[in-house]
Amino acid sequence: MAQQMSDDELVRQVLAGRPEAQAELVARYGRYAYRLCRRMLGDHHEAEDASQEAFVRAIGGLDGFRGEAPLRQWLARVVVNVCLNWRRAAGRRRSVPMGHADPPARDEPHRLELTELQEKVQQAIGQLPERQRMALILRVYEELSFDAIADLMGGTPEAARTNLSLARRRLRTVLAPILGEVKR
Amino acid sequence: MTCDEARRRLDEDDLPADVAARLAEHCRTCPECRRALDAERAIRRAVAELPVPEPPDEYWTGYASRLGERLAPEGAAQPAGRRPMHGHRVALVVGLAASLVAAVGLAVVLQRGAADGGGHAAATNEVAPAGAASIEAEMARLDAEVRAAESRVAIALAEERRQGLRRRLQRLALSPTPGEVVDRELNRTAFLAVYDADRLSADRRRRAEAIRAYQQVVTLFPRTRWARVARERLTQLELPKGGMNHENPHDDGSVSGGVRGSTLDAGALG
Repeated sequence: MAQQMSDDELVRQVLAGRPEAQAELVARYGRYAYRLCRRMLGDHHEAEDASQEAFVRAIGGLDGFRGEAPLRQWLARVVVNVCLNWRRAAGRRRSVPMGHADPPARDEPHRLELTELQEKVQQAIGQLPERQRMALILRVYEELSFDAIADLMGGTPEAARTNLSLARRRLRTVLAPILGEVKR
Repeated sequence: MTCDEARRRLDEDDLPADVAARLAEHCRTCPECRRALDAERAIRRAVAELPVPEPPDEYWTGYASRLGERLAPEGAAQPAGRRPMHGHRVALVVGLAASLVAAVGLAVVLQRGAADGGGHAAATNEVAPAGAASIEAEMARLDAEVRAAESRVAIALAEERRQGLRRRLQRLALSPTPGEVVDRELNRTAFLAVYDADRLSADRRRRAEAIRAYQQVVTLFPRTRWARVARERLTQLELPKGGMNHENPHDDGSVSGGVRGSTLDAGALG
C-alpha cells in the first residue's frame, strides 16, 4: 500500500472492504491510539484493550467520517469516548494506576526508567480528576486547541480551558513543595 | 498586577502578550510569585517531557493480528459500507438468492397455470385440474429447492462457527495463562455489553432496551466487575423522578460545560 495514499483515500479503501487498507490504517494510527489510551488509562493491558476497541468502533463507524477534521482527530474522538466510557464503567476511580508501581506482567512492554521527579509528576497526573486529566493530556501531548478538546470531550472550549487551569493548579499544589527535594 | 491575579494567571495557557508582560514584571518584584512562576515552568517542562511507556517494535506485529481477531467475521466489526464476503455470508447470499429464484419460479408457474386454464379460469380465478396438478408439482419442487438451500446455508454457518471456535481454542491452548485469557475475554465482552447499554440509556426512548441490556450483563457475566456496574446502572435507571442524579460526576471541581471565561488567544506563560 503506497505511503503516499491520503487519509481520505485510505478511508475510501477501508470502506470498500480492502483488508490491506485496514492493515494500513492500523499501521498508521495504532501506536498513536495506544499512546493516547496509555496516557489516559495508565495501564498497558487496558490501553491495549481500549485502543483495539477504539479501532473496532472506528472501522465500524468510518462511514461517519466526513473529512472535515483530520482523520487523526476523528480517531482521537473515538479513542477519548472509549476511554471515558472505560473509566466510567470502572466506577469513576479518581486516580489512574500509572503502571510503574505494579509488578511487571509476563508480557509487560519495556518499562521506562523515570527520574524521581518524573515519577512524582506521573503520579500527580494520575490523581487528577478525570476531565482535568484528559484536558491536560489532550492539550499538552496532543497539542489540541480548546475547540478541538471541547469537540472530543464534549462541553465548551471555555470549559476545556477551565479544566486545564484547574489541572495545572492541582499539579502545582502537589508538586511545587517537593521540587527542591527530588532528583530531576 | 496583584499577587492573587498573578497566581491565577499561572494556571492559564496562551496569555496575551500584555498580560504575560505584566505577570513577568510583577514576578520581578515579588519573590513569592517569582518562586511560584519558576515552579510552574519546571512542572510544565516535566509534564511535557514525561515519556509514555511504549511496547517494543515486535509487539506491534502482534497488535495488528490481535486486532484482526476482533475484526474477524463473527459480527464484531465490519467496515461500514460494502462488506467483504466471508464464507458464511456467501452461503447466506446464495441461500437468499435461491429463495428469490424459487419465488419467481412459483409466480411464473401460477401465471402459466392461469393462462392454460383459458378464459373461464381467468374469469373465475380457478385453474383447470391438469394445470393444478402441474402447479402443485412445481411448488413441491421449488419448496424442495428452498429447503435444500436453507440446509446449505445452515451447514455453512455452523461450519463457520466451528472454525471460529477452533481458532479461539487453539489460541487458548497456546497461551501460557489460559485462565487469564478467558477472564479477559469475559471482561471485555461484558464491558462491551455495558458500553452498548450505556449508549441505549442515553436515549430516553430506548430506556427499556437499556434496562434489558443491563439485566443481560448481570445474568450472563455474574462474576465480572461489570455485573456490579450493570446493577448500579439498573438502580439509577429504575429510580422514580426526583431521585438522586448519579450522572453528575463533577463533584471534584471539574467543569463539564457552559462556563464563561476569558478567551485569551495570544502569548505564553513566561
